[in-house]
Amino acid sequence: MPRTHHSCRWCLGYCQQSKRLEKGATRHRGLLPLFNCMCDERIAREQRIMLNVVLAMFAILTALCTATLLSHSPASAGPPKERIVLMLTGSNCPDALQTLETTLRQTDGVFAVDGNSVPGHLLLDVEEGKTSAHDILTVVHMTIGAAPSCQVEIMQSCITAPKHTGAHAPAK
Amino acid sequence: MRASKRVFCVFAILTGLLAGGLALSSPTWAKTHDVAMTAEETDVVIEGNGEKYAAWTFNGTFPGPVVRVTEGDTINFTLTNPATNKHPHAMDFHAAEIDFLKNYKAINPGETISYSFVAKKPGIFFYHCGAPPMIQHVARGMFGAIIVDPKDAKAWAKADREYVLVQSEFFKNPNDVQAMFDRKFDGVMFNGGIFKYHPFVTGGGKLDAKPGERVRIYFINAGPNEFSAFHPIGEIWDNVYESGNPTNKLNGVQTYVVGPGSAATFDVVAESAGAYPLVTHSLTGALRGAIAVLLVGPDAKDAPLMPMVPWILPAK
Repeated sequence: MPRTHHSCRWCLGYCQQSKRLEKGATRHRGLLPLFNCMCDERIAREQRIMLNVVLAMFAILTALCTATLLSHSPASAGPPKERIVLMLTGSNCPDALQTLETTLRQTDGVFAVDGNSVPGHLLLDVEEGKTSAHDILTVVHMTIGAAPSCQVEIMQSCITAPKHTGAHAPAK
Repeated sequence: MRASKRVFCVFAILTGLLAGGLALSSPTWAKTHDVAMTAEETDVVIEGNGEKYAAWTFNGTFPGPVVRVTEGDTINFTLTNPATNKHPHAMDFHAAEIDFLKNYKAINPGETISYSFVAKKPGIFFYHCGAPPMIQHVARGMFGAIIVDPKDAKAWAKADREYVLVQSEFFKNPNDVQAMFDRKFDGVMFNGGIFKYHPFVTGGGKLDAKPGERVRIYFINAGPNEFSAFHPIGEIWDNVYESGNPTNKLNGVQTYVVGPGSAATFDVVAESAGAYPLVTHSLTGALRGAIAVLLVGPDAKDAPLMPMVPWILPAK
């Protein structure tokens, strides 16, 4: 229901009596001034409330828009992933592979471990910035440290994709 | 007796001429294909972390579907530009020899265009949207491949396995036409994906083959601007066929340049198990996305001509 405010002399007198009038602004709600007079202080308070309401609505709208935009960005698709490739060399590697896969799957920051796609290699998807290749190698060495004839190293080659080429952060 | 022989000879000659004429005018092997495509302005996945790109496509995939016919076949083509689209679109088949003005004109949303052509020459050909600005329509994904197989299958060695690879440049901002004119690309893709067939990159797949198989790569460079220097790391192309025509045959090629809007067919036979990355040796392109690893092993499974199109990543 819309509220109406009316200037009135009755309220002016009331506010002057109660010493809450500074700038001479008085109003009352509805048609009757009785018990509804608003002096400077109440008007200011009401304006503050209205301002807060408007600000809150703006904040909610901003949050909604941001959420919509973020839903199209990689951040909303989960943390960014990085693929770490381990090269396994040695006669004991096939035996060590399953143990390694099991251990690495349980390692914090590791999303997926694939020992089947590329023979002699372990492909790991890890959370970018949380788990490094060095961390993974440490886990590997702790797991198969005693296994002879299986050397594990980070795969580096001419087709290793550089990280900051511009192609990794496409925009819409 | 002599008269009847003469009549028989005339009849035989006439019949022969008639049969020959019929064979020439309407070859028995020729088929007619109805090919319909729809211009779709839609988001597609273009890299292994699931990032999407506001593409313009034929039939919703980047690249569009592979069309495959045989030399001499007729293609009845229809392009629909749905009313829900915002831009005009068109279709230009490099395999066709027809009037450009009449057939390749851009149509507005809500319109349809149809035309026919005979695929007279065998090969691998580019198709693409030609609506202005064409550079943007190509950059955003409106292209694909049409294979015209030779009518004589023995014109070249039989392939054991076939793939189609379409190279194109990637521009982060699909609306920045000036960047396209300025050749400021942000990546290079095979089949609409950055490192799509690179298993050492997140979300990357691979191309499979068995040792000793003749792998045939139908390769197109969609551009819109850059040249491709197509090279198999660890191998040598056994044969390269310019434009995919069996008569344009080269032997023992290390790297072959394919310009924008051009194509070639590449045969490689890897004798040993292992990884053989197929790259553009223009390294700014290779190291920004144009690497496809051919993984050769005894357990290689059958695969479609254009694997992972569309690129659907597993749920997170």
